[in-house]
Amino acid sequence: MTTHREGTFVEGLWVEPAQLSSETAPTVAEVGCTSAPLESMAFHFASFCKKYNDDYVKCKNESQDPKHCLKEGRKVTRCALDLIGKLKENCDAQWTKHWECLDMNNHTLFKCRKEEKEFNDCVFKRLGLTKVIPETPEGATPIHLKEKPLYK
Amino acid sequence: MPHARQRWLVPLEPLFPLLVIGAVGTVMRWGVAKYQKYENFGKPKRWSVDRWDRRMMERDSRLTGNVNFQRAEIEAPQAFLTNSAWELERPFM
Repeated sequence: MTTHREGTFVEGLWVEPAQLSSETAPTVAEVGCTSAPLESMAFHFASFCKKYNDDYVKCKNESQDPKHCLKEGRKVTRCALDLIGKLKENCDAQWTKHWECLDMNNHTLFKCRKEEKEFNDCVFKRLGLTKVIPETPEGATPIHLKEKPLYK
Repeated sequence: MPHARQRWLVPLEPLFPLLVIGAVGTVMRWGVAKYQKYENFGKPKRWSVDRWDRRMMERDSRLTGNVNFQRAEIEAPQAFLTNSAWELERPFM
């Protein structure tokens, strides 16, 4: 947005007065996690909600209009809320430790491998999800499983 | 004329000033880190922030009031549905 400038004499932030009417969009609650928890559960979300995510991406590829993909978006949101509930119930301590570590380290994943390993083990044990990095070449260990990632 | 004898094989004389410079540099880096932690509620500053991170941080500030606070609840607060990060400017000129 090249036309944006910082406001001078700012007196608060804009709050939208109108709500979505219930005919166009029955509201589903928004996901209440900020960036660090979302980043640490991102790969598990990808495998847990794969079909809804693929639907939404295919729908978005058809058109960029926000009104076009509201239904698929709501399904994705419901699946995400479901997963967050399950994580809080089962693996809350490990998840919290991992995202707090990410928070202290500029949200870089490579600094927090130990906590990530504990979190992934807990999630695999309780929920059966593994973290899969989509485009690893055949036969190469994914980077989060390498013992010495800095060596060739 | 005989050659002057070298005083030491390894130059020990500049060692002390180097230690002083090292100490001053370390204190400076520690001080800057402490000040940044004080400004950012106990965390180091975010660096190499790209457009994705800026938009996620803006979403964070709408959820919790400040970019430095994180929360891990299931549902968002009601105010999140209608708030924004657009600044309201008092008309002048």
